[in-house]
Amino acid sequence: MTDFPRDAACIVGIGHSAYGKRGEFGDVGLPRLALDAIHAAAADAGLDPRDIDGFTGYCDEANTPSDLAVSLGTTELHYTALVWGGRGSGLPGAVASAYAAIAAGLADYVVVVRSIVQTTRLGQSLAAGVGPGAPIPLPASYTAPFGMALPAAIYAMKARRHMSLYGTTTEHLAEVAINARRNALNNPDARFRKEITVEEHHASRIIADPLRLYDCCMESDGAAAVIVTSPERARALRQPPASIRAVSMTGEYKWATASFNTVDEVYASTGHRRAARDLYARAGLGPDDVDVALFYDAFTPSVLMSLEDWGFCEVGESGSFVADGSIRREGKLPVNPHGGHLAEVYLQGSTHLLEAVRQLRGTACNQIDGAEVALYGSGVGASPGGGIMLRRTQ
Amino acid sequence: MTDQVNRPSGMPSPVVAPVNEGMWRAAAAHQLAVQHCQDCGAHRYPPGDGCYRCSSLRWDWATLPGSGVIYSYIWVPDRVRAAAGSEAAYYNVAVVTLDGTEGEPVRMLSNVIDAWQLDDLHVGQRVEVVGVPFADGLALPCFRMVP
Repeated sequence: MTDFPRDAACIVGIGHSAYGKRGEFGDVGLPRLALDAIHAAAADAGLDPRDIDGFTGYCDEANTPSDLAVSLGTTELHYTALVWGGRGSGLPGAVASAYAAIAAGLADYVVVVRSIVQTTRLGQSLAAGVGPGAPIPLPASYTAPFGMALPAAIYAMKARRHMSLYGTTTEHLAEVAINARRNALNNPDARFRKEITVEEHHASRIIADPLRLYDCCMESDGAAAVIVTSPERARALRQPPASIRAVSMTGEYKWATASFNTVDEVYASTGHRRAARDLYARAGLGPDDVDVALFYDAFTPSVLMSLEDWGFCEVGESGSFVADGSIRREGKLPVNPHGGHLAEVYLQGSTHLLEAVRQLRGTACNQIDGAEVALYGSGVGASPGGGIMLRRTQ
Repeated sequence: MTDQVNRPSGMPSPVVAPVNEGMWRAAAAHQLAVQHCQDCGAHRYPPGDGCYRCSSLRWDWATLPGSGVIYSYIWVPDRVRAAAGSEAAYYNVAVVTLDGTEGEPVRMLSNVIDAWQLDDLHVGQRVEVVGVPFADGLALPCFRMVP
């Protein structure tokens, strides 16, 4: 892993569409949302959108690259790739694919794009997304008939185990939500700009005990995009590039769709300890070098387990880590200073990547002083998930 | 769904296929069966075509003791029952580590059908299999608490 070609590509443009509640942009449609994000990213980069010649995506992105290319005026489409597996955790794979395409000279400007219109709830698609009486997918036969039908349930099951093993509490979970809401106060794009207290968290209704409503993000509509190119091409563009120091999409052992049968050592985790090992080895950097962390936080336990998986505290100590205020923007490891999925918008990690770039540019709403290295870590999903490390270049 | 068995309302039945039919049939007899590798002897769940330990595609069904230990669990509001005014408004989903397996521990996701209250369950609780029918001769392997 030490021969990984570091800093071979960089992010030169970031953009997003308007953010809305679930189903709000059904009439706008996924292509227009994606194009809004891509146009914004191109304008941010100072790049003619017609020069974009590659597209990568994840989570069964429903936009078609060839159609996007026509609408953008791309004359030659050189590269497309969709991450196979990983669902919402697949962002590092999409970035890895763009990175590899740039490093190999397969394309000049690759867009990583994620667009979502929640016409059917992801949360219900595992079970009730099928019509009454209709057959479910075969792999769901071991979960859905027993009522394991919500993404929240997957995190709740891991959270319970974490609590049982390590004494993690609902106060620790609440701190993750409180931090997200507090940070979003200063983010004009955030959907939830109202602080919450521990008492309000504990009074919110049970979704999947031990998780309550305020442990969960709200499903959203919108799109986000980043433009990846080579360090050489970046010099002609208008933004200081955020170098992609390294990326990894290593899966955890037995991290399949039915992750209740992962091995015991990693059950109460996001499944990223091997991805972290590989990312840090490739980057030649470690947790101590990270100035700001962007963790997939569709549900609060994801942040606690990510802190352990990515080496910011020992396994089992994330509860006391957050209780000390460590993830606040004034703390030793600011986490999701834009508000994350819990308070800004839920677009499956893509907006976390935008925030990582803003932090390295020094243009974030809650700017971390002197931020030079930013880490993105994915959430729980079937492999591949992974991580991305970005570094300021000037 | 009667309130004698705490099961979620409105959930779909499983898809019956060659890789899983044996477990539904065993559950109908209140027994617990999982796949067993004919080459290395490892038990596995959820059902799949190949062995995680030796990659063999040859397998058969093995009947386990039927007992196990709760590894983790959650409680989920049952909106159908709550809307009907039932006091038993939560169902549980539990991950159970099965006794008597060869290889890495085998865990099954299921329901503990005689647990009703949020403090009825705890990690480490012993349970045993009980079948809950979903079709003629076919049942879901669920569990009940062992005192």
